[in-house]
Amino acid sequence: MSSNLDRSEQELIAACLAGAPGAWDQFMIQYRRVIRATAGRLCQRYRDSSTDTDDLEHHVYQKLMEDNHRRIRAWQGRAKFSTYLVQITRNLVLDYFALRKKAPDVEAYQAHLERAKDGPKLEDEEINDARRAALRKALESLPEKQALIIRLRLEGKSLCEIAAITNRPLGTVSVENSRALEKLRARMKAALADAEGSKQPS
Amino acid sequence: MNCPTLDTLIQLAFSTRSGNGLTMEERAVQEHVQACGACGNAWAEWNGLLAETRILLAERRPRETCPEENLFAEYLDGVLSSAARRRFERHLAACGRCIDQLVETYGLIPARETAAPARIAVQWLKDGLKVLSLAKDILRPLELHPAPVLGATSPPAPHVAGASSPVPSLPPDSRLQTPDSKTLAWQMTQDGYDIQLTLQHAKAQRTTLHLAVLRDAAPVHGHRVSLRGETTLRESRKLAPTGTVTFAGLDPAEYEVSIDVPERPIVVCLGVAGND
Ligand SMILES: [Zn+2]
Ligand SMILES: [Zn+2]
Repeated sequence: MSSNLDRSEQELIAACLAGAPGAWDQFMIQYRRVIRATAGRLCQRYRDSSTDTDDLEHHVYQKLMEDNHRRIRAWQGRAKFSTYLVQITRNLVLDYFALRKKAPDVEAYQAHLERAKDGPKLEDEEINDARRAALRKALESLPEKQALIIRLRLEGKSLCEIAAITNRPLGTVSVENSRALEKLRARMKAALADAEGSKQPS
Repeated sequence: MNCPTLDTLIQLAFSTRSGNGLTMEERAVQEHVQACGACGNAWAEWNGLLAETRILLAERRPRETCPEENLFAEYLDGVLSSAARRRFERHLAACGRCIDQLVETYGLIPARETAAPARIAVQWLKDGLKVLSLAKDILRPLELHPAPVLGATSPPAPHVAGASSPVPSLPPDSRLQTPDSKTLAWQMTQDGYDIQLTLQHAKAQRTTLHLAVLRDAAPVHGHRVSLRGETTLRESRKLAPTGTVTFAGLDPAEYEVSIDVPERPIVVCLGVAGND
């Protein structure tokens, strides 16, 4: 597998940037669906029914044309253009949301932080703090491949999806996942034992 | 059911975070957890711990600048060098914002709407191959004819293109089942494509994978088939006019075979275990 580079894709983008007649029409035929689907899915995800997908799409096109097509020119041609376009569109859509209001995720998170700061600290809470700290420390000590798998599992991704996202065979992901969990447990246990030990005067 | 180990409970806590449903085994564990007080508590603790950790990690930003869009696209398309991939993954594991972008955009890329890959695991024995596990709902084992005895009437030929049953053609020597050589075959169907996989293993040789793809009983050709092992092998070929492709010299390892038909890629994960 030398490269995913699609010759016709590269030619089309070059033609668009050179202003060749009919090139942008072809661009719209080929990529409108990608932009529209990305915008639509993100509206759904952020449960933003007040934004019209047409408006959002218009915003994306406007930004793509901006600065003499700066964002399209920035494509380096190694990934498929459609994959790159999804990345660009996603970031443009989130900017658009951010201009109008904070994303709901951020608000919920900040509310959580506030509660955590002001709430009374129970003894249970203290134990939980120690465990949270131990888990974070254990996560940080994992090799990057394993840390990434655990991180993606925390995002709710299945092992199959992680195999697809990271371009690795499923068997490898399963094995690394088991190894990572084993390490996490062992390191948490050690960290918690340390914390216990330091509390009790010996 | 006896109480599961803590590791199993932690696995379940991770799996219930995914919206993709549970496996049969996980469902059985979940039923136990719902009925058993001690396991219920352990599971709930871990579930809470994971949820909180996720929120804390989402806020984390490494000091280095975040990679730009090209790199995300190249990572998802699998075209980064292994050094660049490692660097990118190190950043991802440490950056809440970038993991969010990756997870969100992965689901939006049109060519990535793959079906769950079919899975086979086989063991590599002195006398051939042994099936360890098989995703039965997707892949069906194929009955192979016994070795033809010289001079005797040949057994009926396997179905070929145009025959009533849509079984792709087998490689010519695949019916040989001798003590020194063994062949296993499976069939699967996705989006109207009939795929047949055969694994051939001869004594003191490495394994050969043979693929045949048919649609409406006619061979499908021209589409790219990639075979990818974790580190050992990356090969890509096109389906021949006979609708077939062969990869020889497989060592025991994990492989992923992807057939790039236009609808959505057909993916088979293949694990060839060693002889130990
Ligand atoms: Zn129990
Ligand atoms: Zn980042």
